[in-house]
Amino acid sequence: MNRTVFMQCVLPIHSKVSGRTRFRVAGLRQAPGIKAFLEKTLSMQSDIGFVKASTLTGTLLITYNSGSTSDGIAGRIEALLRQWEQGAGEPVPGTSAYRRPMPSADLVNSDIPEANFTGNQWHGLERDEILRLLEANGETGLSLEAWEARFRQYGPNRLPQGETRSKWEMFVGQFTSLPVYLLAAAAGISVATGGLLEAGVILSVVAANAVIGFVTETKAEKTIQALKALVQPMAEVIRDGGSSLIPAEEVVLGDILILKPGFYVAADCRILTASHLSIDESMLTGESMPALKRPERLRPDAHIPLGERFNMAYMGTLVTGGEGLAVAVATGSWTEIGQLQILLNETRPPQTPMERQLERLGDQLVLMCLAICGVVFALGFLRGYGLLQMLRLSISLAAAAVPEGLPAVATINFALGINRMRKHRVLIRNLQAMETLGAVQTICLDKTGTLTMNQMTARHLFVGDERLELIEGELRGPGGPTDPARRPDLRQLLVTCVLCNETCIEEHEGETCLNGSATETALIKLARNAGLDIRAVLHSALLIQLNHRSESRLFMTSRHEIEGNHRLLSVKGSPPEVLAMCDTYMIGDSLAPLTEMARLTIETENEAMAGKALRVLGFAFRKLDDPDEPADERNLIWLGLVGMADPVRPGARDLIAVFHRAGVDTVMITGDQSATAYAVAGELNLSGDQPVQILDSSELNRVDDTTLQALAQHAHVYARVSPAHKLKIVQVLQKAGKTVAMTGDGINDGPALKAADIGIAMGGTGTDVARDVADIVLEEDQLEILAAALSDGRAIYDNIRKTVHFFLSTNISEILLMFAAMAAGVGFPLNIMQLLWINLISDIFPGLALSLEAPEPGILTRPPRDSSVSLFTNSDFRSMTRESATITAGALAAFGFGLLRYGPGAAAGALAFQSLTIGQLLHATSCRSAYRRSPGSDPLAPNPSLFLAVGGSLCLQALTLFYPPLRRFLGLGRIGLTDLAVIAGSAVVPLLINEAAKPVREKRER
Amino acid sequence: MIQNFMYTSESVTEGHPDKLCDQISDAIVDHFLTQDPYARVRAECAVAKAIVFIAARFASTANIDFARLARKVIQRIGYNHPDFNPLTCSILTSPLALPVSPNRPADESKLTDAEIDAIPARNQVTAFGFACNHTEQLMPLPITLAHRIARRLTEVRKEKILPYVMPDGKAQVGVEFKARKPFRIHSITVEIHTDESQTPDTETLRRDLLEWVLKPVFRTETLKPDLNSALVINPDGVYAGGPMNHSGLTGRKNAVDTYGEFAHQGSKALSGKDPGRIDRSAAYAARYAAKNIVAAGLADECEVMLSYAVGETRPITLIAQTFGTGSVSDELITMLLQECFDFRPAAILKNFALRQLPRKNPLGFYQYLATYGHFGRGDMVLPWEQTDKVDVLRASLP
Repeated sequence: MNRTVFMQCVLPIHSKVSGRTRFRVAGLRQAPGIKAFLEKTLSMQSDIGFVKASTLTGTLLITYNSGSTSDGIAGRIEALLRQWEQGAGEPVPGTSAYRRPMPSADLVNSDIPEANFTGNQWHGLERDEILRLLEANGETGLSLEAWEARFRQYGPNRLPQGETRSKWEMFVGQFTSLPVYLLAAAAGISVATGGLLEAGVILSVVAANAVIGFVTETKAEKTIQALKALVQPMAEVIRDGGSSLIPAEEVVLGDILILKPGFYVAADCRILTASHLSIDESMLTGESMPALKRPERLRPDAHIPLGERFNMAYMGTLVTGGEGLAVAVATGSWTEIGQLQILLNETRPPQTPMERQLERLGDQLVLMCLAICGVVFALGFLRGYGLLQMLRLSISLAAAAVPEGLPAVATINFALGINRMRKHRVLIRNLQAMETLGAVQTICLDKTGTLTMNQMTARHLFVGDERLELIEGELRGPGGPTDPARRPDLRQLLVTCVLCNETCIEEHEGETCLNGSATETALIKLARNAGLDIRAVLHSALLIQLNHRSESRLFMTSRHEIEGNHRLLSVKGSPPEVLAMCDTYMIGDSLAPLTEMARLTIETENEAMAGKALRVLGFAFRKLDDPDEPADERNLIWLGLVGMADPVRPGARDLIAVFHRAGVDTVMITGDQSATAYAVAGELNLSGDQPVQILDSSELNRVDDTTLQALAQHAHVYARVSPAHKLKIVQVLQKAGKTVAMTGDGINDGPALKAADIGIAMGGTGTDVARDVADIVLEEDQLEILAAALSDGRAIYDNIRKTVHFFLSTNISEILLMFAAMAAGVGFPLNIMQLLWINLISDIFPGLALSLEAPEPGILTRPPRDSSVSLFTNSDFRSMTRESATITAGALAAFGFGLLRYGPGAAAGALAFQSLTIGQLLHATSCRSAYRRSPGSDPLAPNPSLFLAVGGSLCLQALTLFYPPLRRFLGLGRIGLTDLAVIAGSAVVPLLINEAAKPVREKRER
Repeated sequence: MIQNFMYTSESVTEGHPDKLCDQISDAIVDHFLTQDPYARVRAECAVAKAIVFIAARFASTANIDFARLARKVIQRIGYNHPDFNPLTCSILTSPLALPVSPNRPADESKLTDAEIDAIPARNQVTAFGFACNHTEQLMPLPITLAHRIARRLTEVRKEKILPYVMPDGKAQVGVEFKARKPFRIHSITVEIHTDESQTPDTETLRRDLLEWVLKPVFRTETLKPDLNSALVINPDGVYAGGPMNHSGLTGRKNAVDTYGEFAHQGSKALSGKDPGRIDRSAAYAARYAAKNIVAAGLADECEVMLSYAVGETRPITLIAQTFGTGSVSDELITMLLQECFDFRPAAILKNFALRQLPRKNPLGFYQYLATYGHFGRGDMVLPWEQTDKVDVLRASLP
């Protein structure tokens, strides 16, 4: 047996709770022998309570008396490990006690002390060492053969998949609920007392309930599982010396990964090279600001937290900026995220807060129901009814009254919502989004591409001291058409437009295809329309270097090689910043000094363009005679301004108005200068009737949080903001207590979309990153759909409330009826069969149909719900009880009438039964809205499903009146026409009373 | 009348947060008037925690980028602290554009007397103007000295003579008066924000300020500090200055803008409003009147009070006081003023061409007034500082 030396290898990793510590134990990973030995010996020690070792994570959880310290325990574990080393403990058959801790370690040469690797210490090795260990090549990557061999050996790079519930499990699950147990108990007692028929009926009720539950749940489950399948990550790797894009599942150990913004890291890997590489690791570390990565080695210390291992990148994290190369050191379930997922053992998305709330509510109600049924049982027993009879009756009552499947109500509603949204071409990627959508209080919108068309067209130029306008593709100055050939300053401006530009120009069958950002393609088009030969310009000046615009430098520069080994520096960017770097300007074919006056003229022109909502860029250049002269941005020659229009999307203004009516604050985020932002905000009426508040800041990060939090409550527009700061905006809004939605389409938007309560990716133009991290994807860039989505989100919440409201108020009415009759000493209005019947026909279908209610009219004219208020408040419960009491009163009245007319017996019971059932069914129509519609307000949209459900149930109910076998089966007495009138009255009057008691929704002024 | 007393006045540098706000407010006024002389504008500015807040109400045809203007002012003043600099500081603007009224003010220079008569004051204001013969500019000595020191504090920073000096600073000068005449320098207090990384020790700072700031300032003065004059530097130890440390607000330095509290002053701010606002133009008119009285030799000191009521064209009160220094009676002086000066709102605009001044000084006019006082400026040509009424006044003497 291969024995290794333990270094200092027992360390507490979590000891915040006193008397309970989690240790990381080197060598424990994948070593069941040590696990058994430690668990056995430690649990025998007197001061130690609970011991649990995990071979998966290599950790040991111990609870111990307050007399001990975690350090002391650690010492004891180490002592035990030394004992084990010396041969203590029983080897577990079939395992080697010191199996290599990670699959990767199979490649490790035996002369490397293994302890270095336990706890994944790749960060502590030199990069060359790692490449050697993994037999990888940092330049050419793996060969195809090597890849095949490794793929066979380690299998696909797939995270452990939680087992989805099989259909069988789901079906069985239908029978493992409290009501079913109660019914089974009732059936058992029936059998024991000879009521075989009754038992049969009970069991068929159980079966029917199960089938309905099964069918709806499978459908919902399918929809929800489908959410997972949406993500199919890809990875870019170097193989055989070339880069290729492969499914992330095919990544193996030793693969060289190319890390680029917008890609998820495909495996745990060690950084080899990095240039401004930043990675969002929030899913692992909780740290929301992206972490900067560098290739340098860290000290070989296993206890450096993941978040501080700057030379590692972890599977599932998101590259947000820069680029780099990395070598895969762990794949699949051996990655950090893989281990986490094993720990959580997730089989389906975690319950949403609403599902949890419903589950808790359900549990409380079960207890309440049982208590009341217990009282009914005791009362009946005291009043001298038979023990068995009372037992069966109260158990059936409990079964009928217990609200089964409350959490399922939410699940079903969410699934329905997801499908409904899909029809609008809105993809929901996250179950909780369905719930949160209705609570959105603030929505942050990108200006470019979201509120505007992102179709830039150059409109105005200011060159030399002349304004030029682009009319029908022709440049016109004050004196008519202008030809760049005769205006060297204009020509140079256009050349700079083309050179300081990343647009990819491709020829396809004679047609030129421009592939680049809207702004940059607009500049190319401008130059082309003015008659510039783009190809010739590009050929005459080869690009050497390109510096992108960044947060602290709001301009882009490019360096070119031009004839005679000279260099040309081209600059474009924010006009004030570019202008500040210039000291002369070009006018005609000569240079003039930029006097204060000349600067002022340019600034005024810039403002005039910005005031027309144009995006304005300033251009400058400089020739360097000496190729080695540093290309710093000083002493530049100013060329001019180009103003580009990006029309506001049709409908954007209306959408903003819809949001405002719905009480949702709108925030616009743009990189443009604030004058442009102000003009666009005006076009959109972004601030409603308030003065628009613009926060202009290129470094929001510097503002302290509390201040920004205060400001964020007021700002309508963020100007000159880089996408990276969107995250900050989301965070401060959330800290201020808002539920925030954020739109985005770019790579840099990833972290913000993830942090937002609802991240909305613009699908049509958006990048994969945005789509991957968003909660909602708009497949078409039709912003108006957002209004529909908002309304749907609110409707789903409403419908869940309506359904649960219906379930609860009707179930309570049954209990109340039995209880009241029992208390009054007038016998049982309902028998077991009748209770089951009610449970079967008056509950499920109308309830499900209420889930299909269309959004109420005016749903978008009321403020968003407060997400901190729970689903049902005390006043809701009061009104439910009031409604139940009214229905019960109706049924009791009918019962009383029956008693007077027929005396105690089946006939009086029939009156109560009919009145209660019909009353409950009619109550479903009352549950369609919590408010009474005032005369003149828009009526509710018809709900055919509810009509069918209530109508169908009423027809079945009619059968119990007119179809004698069924009547006999249910033990109903014959009743006459007068009775029918009484039933009708006692069922309809409670409905009218309940309707009258509803509050009227105030009509909001538009 | 008290004849012997001690008087202190204070001035602040252009980098003081309150003054920063005044300058941004007036840069906005400048910018509007340059593009549109008939613009109506109120621009308030505040700075706190290194964030600039701008609230502006305006009715104008001009295009304006408030944030850029503010950054330009911050740049000009020379803030380059990592926490507060023109490039990265955050600016919250709240512009409220009012509809441009069709009967907006016309060019006053073309108005007839009857038309001027038809334009009443739109605000209530009581404005004071003052002049005295302490200095050549006919300004009180304490504020004049304070301004000169504050100015010099900026010079030694901008010329990098004292590289650790930061933009925010304050100067206070106490002058002892005998028989209402400046008699000796009682005390000088300088508070100056210094760069944390290169703050000198107290002794060096004191020596440097004495050598490079106070000596040059007093070289040309007749009244110099004596051995008993107190010199206090940063009395609270380190002066935590700049917008990153203390807040500022437009209109908080009225005494600095006017006469250093030596005379009455209106409570209304001068900065951040177009000159069509009577509270701004009346202050200039009152100074013009007072200065001409003193220049004409009618008094050593003169304070003019103008009170306007909404809807009235002429000031409802016009009073001149000379504190017993007049060569003629105060009543006569008041009468002379009524005869020789036109205090109607439109007439002030017309005579001083207040709306056109920014256009004539396109690099900025009002924003420069916002530092080192609106009055007694030797470095700017200001219409209300002209003593062109002296002859008329003398000729009108009975």
